[in-house]
Amino acid sequence: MSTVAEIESAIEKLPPAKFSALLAWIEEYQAMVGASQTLFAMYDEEEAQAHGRS
Amino acid sequence: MTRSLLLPLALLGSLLASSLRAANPFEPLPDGGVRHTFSGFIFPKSIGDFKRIDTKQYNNEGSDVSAGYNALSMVVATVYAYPAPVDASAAAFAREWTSKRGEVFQVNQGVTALSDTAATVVQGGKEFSGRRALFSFRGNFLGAERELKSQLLVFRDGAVFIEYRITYPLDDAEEAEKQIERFIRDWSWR
Repeated sequence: MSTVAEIESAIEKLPPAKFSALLAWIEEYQAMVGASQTLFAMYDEEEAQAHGRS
Repeated sequence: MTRSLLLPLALLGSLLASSLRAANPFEPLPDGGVRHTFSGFIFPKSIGDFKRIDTKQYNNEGSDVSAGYNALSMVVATVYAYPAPVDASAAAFAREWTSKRGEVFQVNQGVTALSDTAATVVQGGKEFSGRRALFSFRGNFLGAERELKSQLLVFRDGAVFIEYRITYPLDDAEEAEKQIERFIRDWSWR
């Protein structure tokens, strides 16, 4: 499974309970990724100052 | 060289520069890891509870890269691999360490240095010596202001420096530090 269309098709076949579980996982994953960005940005700012990166 | 040749050559150079920046510096591996093509350093898909959620490239050549990891929303880490100078002396490493350590104080407010010690990791049966520092400060962690602990580790592996930056809430330090030790110990760089 490698395309968005294939993933969408697989999701459509999920029973309601599994769909709810998937939705909860996506929301948790999205929150984790989004929230981590603040710290990733802080680390990169340190790196940029140490290395003179733009 | 005639003037008529200069423009095509300039365009060619510009296209080459664009293609270099666009080139992916990471080679995907069957187990989900990615190999930094410049150094051979491997960023695994996961180690224990740490999941890789981001990769970045900082220069055209792709020699300067990082990967971001998150462990159960308790620990957020970025691991960098970037070119080291030809000078492999202890003095050169000390300069790098001083610079990196200093930037933690520059970027964050109210930083307290908790420790600054020698560190070692074993990779492929070989021991690598580096430095490890622990800090505390107050900052944003996953959307909330918290008292935080933060670690900086730097090692040299041939032509690259390997740097770990790791942050977690002070309240979770005991469990987080156990996970961090496994994260560092179980990572096979190559």
